[in-house]
Amino acid sequence: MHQLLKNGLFSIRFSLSLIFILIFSSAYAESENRSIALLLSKNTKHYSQFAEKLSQHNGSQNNAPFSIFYPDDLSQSLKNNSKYLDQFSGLVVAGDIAADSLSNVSTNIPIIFTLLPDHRVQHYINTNPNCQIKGRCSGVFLNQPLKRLLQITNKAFPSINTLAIFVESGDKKTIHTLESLNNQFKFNILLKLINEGDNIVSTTHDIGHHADVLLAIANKNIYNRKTAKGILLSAYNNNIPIIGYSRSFVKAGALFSIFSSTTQIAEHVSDLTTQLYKGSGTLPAPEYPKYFSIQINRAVKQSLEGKLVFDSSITKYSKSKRYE
Amino acid sequence: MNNLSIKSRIILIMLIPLLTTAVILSFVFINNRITDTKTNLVNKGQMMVQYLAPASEYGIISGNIEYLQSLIQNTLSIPDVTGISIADINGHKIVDIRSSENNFSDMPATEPVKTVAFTQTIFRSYLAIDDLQDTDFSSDDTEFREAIGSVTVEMTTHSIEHSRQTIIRNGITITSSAFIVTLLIALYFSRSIIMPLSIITAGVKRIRDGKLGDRINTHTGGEIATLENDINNMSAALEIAKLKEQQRAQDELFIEKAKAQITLESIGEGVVTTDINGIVTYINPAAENLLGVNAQTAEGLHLHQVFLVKYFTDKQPLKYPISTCLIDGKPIHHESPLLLFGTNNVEFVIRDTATPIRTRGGKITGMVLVFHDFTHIQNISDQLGFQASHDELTGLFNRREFEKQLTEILESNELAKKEFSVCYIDLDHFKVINDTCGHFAGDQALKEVSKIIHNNIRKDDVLARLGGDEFGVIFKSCPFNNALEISNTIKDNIQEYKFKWEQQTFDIGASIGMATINGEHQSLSELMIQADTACYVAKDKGRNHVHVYHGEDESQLKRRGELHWLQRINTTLDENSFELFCQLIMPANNTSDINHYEILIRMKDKDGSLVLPHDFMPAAEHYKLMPKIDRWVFQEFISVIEHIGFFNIESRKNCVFNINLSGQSLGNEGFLEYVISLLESSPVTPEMLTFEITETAAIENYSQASHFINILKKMGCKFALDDFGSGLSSFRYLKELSVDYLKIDGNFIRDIENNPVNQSIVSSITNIATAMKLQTIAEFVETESSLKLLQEYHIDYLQGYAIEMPIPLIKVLHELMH
Repeated sequence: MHQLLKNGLFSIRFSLSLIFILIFSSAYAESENRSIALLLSKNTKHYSQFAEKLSQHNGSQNNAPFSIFYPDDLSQSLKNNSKYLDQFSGLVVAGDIAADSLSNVSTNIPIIFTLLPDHRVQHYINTNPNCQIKGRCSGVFLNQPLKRLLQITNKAFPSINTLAIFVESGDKKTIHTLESLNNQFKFNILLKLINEGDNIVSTTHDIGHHADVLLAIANKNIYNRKTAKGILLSAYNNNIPIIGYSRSFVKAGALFSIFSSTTQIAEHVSDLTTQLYKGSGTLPAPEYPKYFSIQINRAVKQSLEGKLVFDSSITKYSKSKRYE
Repeated sequence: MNNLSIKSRIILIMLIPLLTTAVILSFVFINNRITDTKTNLVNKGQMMVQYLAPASEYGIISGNIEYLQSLIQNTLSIPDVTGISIADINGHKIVDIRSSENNFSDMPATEPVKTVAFTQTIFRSYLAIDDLQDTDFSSDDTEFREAIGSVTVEMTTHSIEHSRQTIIRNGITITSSAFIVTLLIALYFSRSIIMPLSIITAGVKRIRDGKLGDRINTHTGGEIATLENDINNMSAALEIAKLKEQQRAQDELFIEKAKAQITLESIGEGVVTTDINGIVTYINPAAENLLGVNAQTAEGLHLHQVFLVKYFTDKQPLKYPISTCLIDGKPIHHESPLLLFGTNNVEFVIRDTATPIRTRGGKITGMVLVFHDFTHIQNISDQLGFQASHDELTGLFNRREFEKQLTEILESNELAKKEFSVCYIDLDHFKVINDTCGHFAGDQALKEVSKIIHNNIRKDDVLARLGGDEFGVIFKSCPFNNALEISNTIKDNIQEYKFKWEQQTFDIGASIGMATINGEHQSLSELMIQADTACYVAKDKGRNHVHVYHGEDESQLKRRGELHWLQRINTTLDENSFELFCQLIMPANNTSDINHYEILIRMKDKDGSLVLPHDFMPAAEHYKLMPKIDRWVFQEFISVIEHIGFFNIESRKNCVFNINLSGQSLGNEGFLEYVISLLESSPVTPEMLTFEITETAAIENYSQASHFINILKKMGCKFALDDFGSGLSSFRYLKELSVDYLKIDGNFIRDIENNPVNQSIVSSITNIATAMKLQTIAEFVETESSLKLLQEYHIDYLQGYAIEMPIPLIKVLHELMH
């Protein structure tokens, strides 16, 4: 009942926000301040929240409101008018679905890819013809930079010897990055390459004798909802705490997670869109999120007490611009 | 149910509901407990698989067999779990571990372990770890559920069985305990009811046994106490009634005993009672008199000491068979009388009966001997027996006994071994003694002659008086020559004997006929005829002869017609061929208007001629056929009178019919009764009849004749003494025989006109008859001169050819009727 009431209030508030955005965007258009299009993959809670935060931030900058679309809407509009996107000063693409829907769309407005991991953003920028021009496309990654993760891990576990990290064997960039960072910390990075078909749970079990902590790096081929429980159980069966990459991970059983929320992503994206409103036609290279959070699972923390030294004050390393 | 005791009923009343309830409750309880146990087992199994399924997820997806084994091992220790297996999605068992703890070694090896398996599918759990992904899915959403295997927990039902057995055992124990407790309670209660009832029953039994003074002690209350009091009251009432009844019974017993005592002391039968050992316990006065001992002496002695008897027939001593009575329990009764040695060695002929005395239960306690003096009766019986077989005058056997012994000889086997013969003795001139000196003298002569004969025969020979002056002797086991010699001796001794009576001496001779008894086709009658024939021949030879029968004797006699007439008479009787004639007996001097008619008999010959009586009457008399002829005449006369209807006419009052009776008929048993019977049943009145009896027959059968005359005269018949004057002693009996007519012998009439003696005799007879107020009849009046003469002599009736010839009776009756 409480959840329903909460969802209801959220919908009312979201609807009022959209009305507000539309009113102001039209007013801005009339003043020849073109708006920015926001293409959301799905009309879900996270995307809506992202859109809301982004719009709020944009509104606070007195910018023209966003024009929000979904792939179907965009497709219909483009069917009617192939130059439809050109009327906007920029396009924010959130999520894979939204990014994929642009694969055959030709436009000359700047594009910001967000709510995607770094390798996916790189993929879309590399593959989208519109991004062939430098500064035309940018993005805010969803995942954290490896160094940040390792630094916070180092802060959190000052006494561990080995940090295990599963990496897809084809992810050469990550492997390379980790290898380069291996010597910068007190612990050794046990890089476990995962091939297609490997039993990740069994692998987790295997590292139990060698690693002290497992650092999960977002990769849907390794960490997904199917493997999550097995990995967690296997790790904890070997007294190996897991460092997650999302709020959900903490909730599922990770000792703590280092992540950027949609709000923090929205703030970061807002910074980019502000530049677009200011008339700057060149965007910076894609970036890791500037703002991130650290969330600890108290129950897991308590279960680790006496087994492993964990500094729970790492939360102070969080970076949040306005909220958190 | 009706035969059950109260105790059983109480127990059943208490136990049946209890057992029923206990069984139902036990069933429900056991069933519920077993159901609960099963439910618990199922719940337990389901909980286990529900627990193990998610717990096994990690082991499956990680392939961590040790983990799974560890997981299962921890679970196997749970009771009832016999094994747990985990299979992958393809059903291949990854882990299968059997429990070593729940092997249930206490169960019989032959009994398989029953198990029940619980299986739960193992799903892979999805966890949302990506914030951008939609995390609103549920673990139950099939979209997010992937089966990765299954876990099966096998659990034994042993605990259920064990539990069931325990429950049943406990149920049985509880039920049995309740049963025993209830039984004890029932027994206690039944005892509380039965005890008083037993006391009451014992009391009633004592009352039944006659202990009416006993009372039932009241121990209880309620209805049973009421019952006890009522029984006590009833017992008291019965006691009073019993005392009264005893008093009344004693009084009655005393009276009955007194009656019995008086009866025993009054009756003529001797009564002796003994105990089981034969010791005399009572003896009545009659027995005292017969046994010659008093009661005080006899009582205490053995019966054999006081009751001394022997057989009456052979006089052999008899030890009275008391064991038959006292041991065998059978009554004693001797068919023939016994001889009892009584007072002063006097022998009594007694009849005895002994009967065992028994208790109500049939046990013999003694015997009662009843006997009575049979002496007088025996004497009378002996006398009667003697009289039946002996001649009263001579004391010899009579004709009946003679014929009986002869018959026994004929039927015996002795004939083939020894010689037997019979002789027929007929005295000669004996009639002279009777006629001259009277029957008393004749009787005396017969006695003496019988002694002569008796003195000459042997001891074993049989001597009998066959009738009148006829004797018979049977020579037993005697050679014929010896018999012949004895017969000749008898003849000679009789011939030599001189009978003396009142200074008169008479010679008596004997004609003896002998016949051998050879048994060859001889019957009694044939044998007697042979002897009689021989005797006849002896007489024919001139008397005082002994003649031995030969076949030619018979032919000789036949030639004389004796036997010829015998056959013809019998044939005529059988064929009813006689015919009645009658001859008028006319009043001589018109002194009476009554005509007499003498009934005469004629034999019709085959040629139609009539045979006169003088031709066949001798043979009829000789062969004793006269009673038959006389019966026929009387019966035929009655029949004719009835048939003609003569009794209805007025003229019958002037007719009297004279019917002749022979001396044999007078002595014939039943003849008188025959005549009376016919008279009483016919219309012929006695006044119409006058019976003619010859003087000789009347004298020879005096007593029978007198009796015959007296009886029929009282009825109204009259009697005429026929052939009067033929015997010299006739006048002597006239005074004693109540006759009405004297029919003068025809020999005096036939030639009376020429015979002065006959005239004198007839005159004398007429005078005597007049003096005795008798009427006279003259027969054989054959001439007119004799008729006139007889009328002068004042003869009352005349009969003869001069009066009327005999004519058939029917003709006469018809004439009289018209």
